[in-house]
Amino acid sequence: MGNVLLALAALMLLAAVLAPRWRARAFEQRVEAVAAGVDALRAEAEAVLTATGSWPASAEGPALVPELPPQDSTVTLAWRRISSTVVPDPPSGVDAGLPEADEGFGPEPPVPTPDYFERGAVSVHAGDDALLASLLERYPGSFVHDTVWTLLLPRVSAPPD
Amino acid sequence: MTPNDTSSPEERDRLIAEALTHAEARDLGYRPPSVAPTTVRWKGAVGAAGLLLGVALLVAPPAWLRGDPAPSVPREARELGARAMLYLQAQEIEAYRQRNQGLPDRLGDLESELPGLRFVRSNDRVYQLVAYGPDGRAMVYDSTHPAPEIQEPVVDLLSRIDGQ
Repeated sequence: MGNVLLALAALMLLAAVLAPRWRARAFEQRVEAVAAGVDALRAEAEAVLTATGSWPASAEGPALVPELPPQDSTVTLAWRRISSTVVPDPPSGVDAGLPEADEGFGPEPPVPTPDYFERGAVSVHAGDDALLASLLERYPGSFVHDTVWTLLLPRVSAPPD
Repeated sequence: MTPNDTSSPEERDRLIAEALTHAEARDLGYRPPSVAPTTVRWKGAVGAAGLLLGVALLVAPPAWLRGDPAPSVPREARELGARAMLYLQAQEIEAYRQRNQGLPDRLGDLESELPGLRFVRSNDRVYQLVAYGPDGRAMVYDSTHPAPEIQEPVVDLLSRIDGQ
C-alpha cells in the first residue's frame, strides 16, 4: 500500500511540474494556428488586390477565410472592407457669399468630386484575452476592441460607385 | 521394478506419504520476509503527503511553477481599439453619405458593420457613434464635432499603416 501511494505521489508531482509547460505549449500552438489563419486570409486578400486593384468585398470574406483547427471552434476569422472618402476643399476664390452688386450670378462653381478609398481589415473574434494580446504583440499596428482583434491593411483608391 | 511392472497400492500410498511429508518439511522451513511496521507507516505517510501536494500544485500552482503569466491586452491598446472602431465606422458612414446623399438608417446598411458600436441618428444629417472603453466608459463620436482625442491617435495609426 505504501509503495502504491509513493508511486502515485511521484506521478502526481511530476504532472504538477509539467502541466504548466504543457499548457504554455498548447497555447503557443493555438496562437501559431490562428496567426497562420490570419496570414493566409491576408495573402488571399492581397492576391485579389493585385489581380483586380481592389480589396475583396466584405461579402466575399467567408469564401476567403481559411479553416482553423477544430480545437479553435471558439475563434472566428473575418474579413471586412471599410470605405472612406475625402472631399477636396473647394478651389480658392469660390465662396458661398453673395455676388458683388455689379456682378450677376455667374456660372455655378464646380462641385468638388469626392475621392473614395477602401481598406481591408482582418479580424479575429475570440473570448480569450491572452490570445488577443499575443496577436497584438505579433502584428504591430493592430488593435483590440472588446473581444475583436483587428489588423488593418493599407487603403487603396476605390471607384465612386 | 521395470516399466511393465505395476506398483502395489501400499507402495503408492507410501510414496505419496513420503512426498507429502517432504513438502510439509519444506513449508515449515519457509519464513516469509518480514516487513517492519514502521517502514510501512513511513511510506504511507510520505506517499499520502506527496499525493496531496501534487493535487494542490495541479489545482493551484504557485507563481514559480506557473512560469510566465498569460499576456493580457493593455488598457491603452483597448482604448485605441475603441477609438479606431469609432473612427473607421464614421469614415464608412461618410462614404455612404457621399454616395447615397443621406445617412444610413442603421449600421447594417453599410458594407461593413463594425462590432461593438451603437449608432444613434439624430436627424437626416447628424449622428453619433458610441463605443465602450475598457473601463465601461462610453466614448461618443459626434459627427458634427468629432472629438480630437478620438481622431488623432487613429489618424496617426492609419498614416503608419498606409506609409508602410
